[in-house]
Amino acid sequence: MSLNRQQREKFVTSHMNQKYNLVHMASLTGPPQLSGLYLKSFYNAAKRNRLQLPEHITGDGTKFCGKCGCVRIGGVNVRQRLEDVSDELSNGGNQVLSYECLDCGDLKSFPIKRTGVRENTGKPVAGPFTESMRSKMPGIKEAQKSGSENGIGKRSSAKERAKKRKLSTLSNLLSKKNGEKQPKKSSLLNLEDFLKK
Amino acid sequence: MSSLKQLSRSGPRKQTYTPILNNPFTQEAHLWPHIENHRLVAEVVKSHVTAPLALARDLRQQAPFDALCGFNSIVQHLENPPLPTSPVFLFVCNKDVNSEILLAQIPILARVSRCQVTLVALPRGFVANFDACDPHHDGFLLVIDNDKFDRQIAAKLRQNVPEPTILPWLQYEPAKISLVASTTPVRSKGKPVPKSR
Repeated sequence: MSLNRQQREKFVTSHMNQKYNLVHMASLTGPPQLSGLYLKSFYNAAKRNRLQLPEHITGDGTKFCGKCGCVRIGGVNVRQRLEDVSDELSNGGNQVLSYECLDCGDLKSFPIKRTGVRENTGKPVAGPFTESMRSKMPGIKEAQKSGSENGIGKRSSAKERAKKRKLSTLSNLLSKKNGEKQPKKSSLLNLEDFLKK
Repeated sequence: MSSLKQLSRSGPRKQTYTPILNNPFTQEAHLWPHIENHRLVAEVVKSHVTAPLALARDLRQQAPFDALCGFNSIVQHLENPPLPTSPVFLFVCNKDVNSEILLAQIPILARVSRCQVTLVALPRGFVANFDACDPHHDGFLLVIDNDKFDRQIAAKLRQNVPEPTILPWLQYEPAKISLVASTTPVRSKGKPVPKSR
């Protein structure tokens, strides 16, 4: 029996949900060896259904252990430590977060940049202490300035973009240029015009 | 042969992850508690938590209440809380911390920990207040809610911070069943299995 599109999507959603839930359940209830099997089955299902999973699910060792495949649960099956390292090791950052899987003993480290204000946030600082904090943090101003200059900070809607596209046609640009060349004529009557005649 | 219309229809489709991430079993979209009155909470934290700590640091005096700064010390405290366990407030500048992997395990660790953790996510830009308390804060501050901490402030914070959503997959206990040694027949790919008549 073939399924129509809606039925298929529904089936895929429930199927993937069940697989994903099993991966989570296996890491706590069953022996750790099972979680690897379930994770492989989940990835295979995603591949079969041609789903692009988010990066934190597919990413190597972030959510799942890269060796045994269990879901990382802080304080239960993973020990996490933040360590200061030299710049060469941390790949541009200066700290490394290391995960040690307590089930299989696998070590995984992630380079991390030091805590600071996010760049190109585009959002104002919340709270009544906004201005005082902004003055303390020059990074925000610089980032916002560069963002607005590059056009990153602004978010334009589809309607605005369509309007911009319409306005940037060749005929429009020519007429705009001609309009700039000619001096502006006011709609009001001018005394000098009458005197010339 | 397919028409242009058919080709445009069969183009790549944008995949949504909401069914998997908003799954009622895993509830990954609701890991962090949503604070409605975040301005009030930020002001309370600023005036009654970070300001006294900063003042004590400036005067080189002992902090008025027990507090921990930095990722490692906080994670160690949550993994192995000292006995007798007392409830804690975990203040996190989750919008200012650059890396998502540093924050990934924090809400899970707060739920799994043996001590009662009230997770308070602070608004963007609040990290500047942490700088005055401790330069190596990493965006995290833990306050132990014991006799030294003001009870009214603790009650006010608890009132404004919603209780964390229950994650059903963290409620399970490890099963007592371990792996069972079993065997399967080895079949080589070259030799087909004879049909039984």
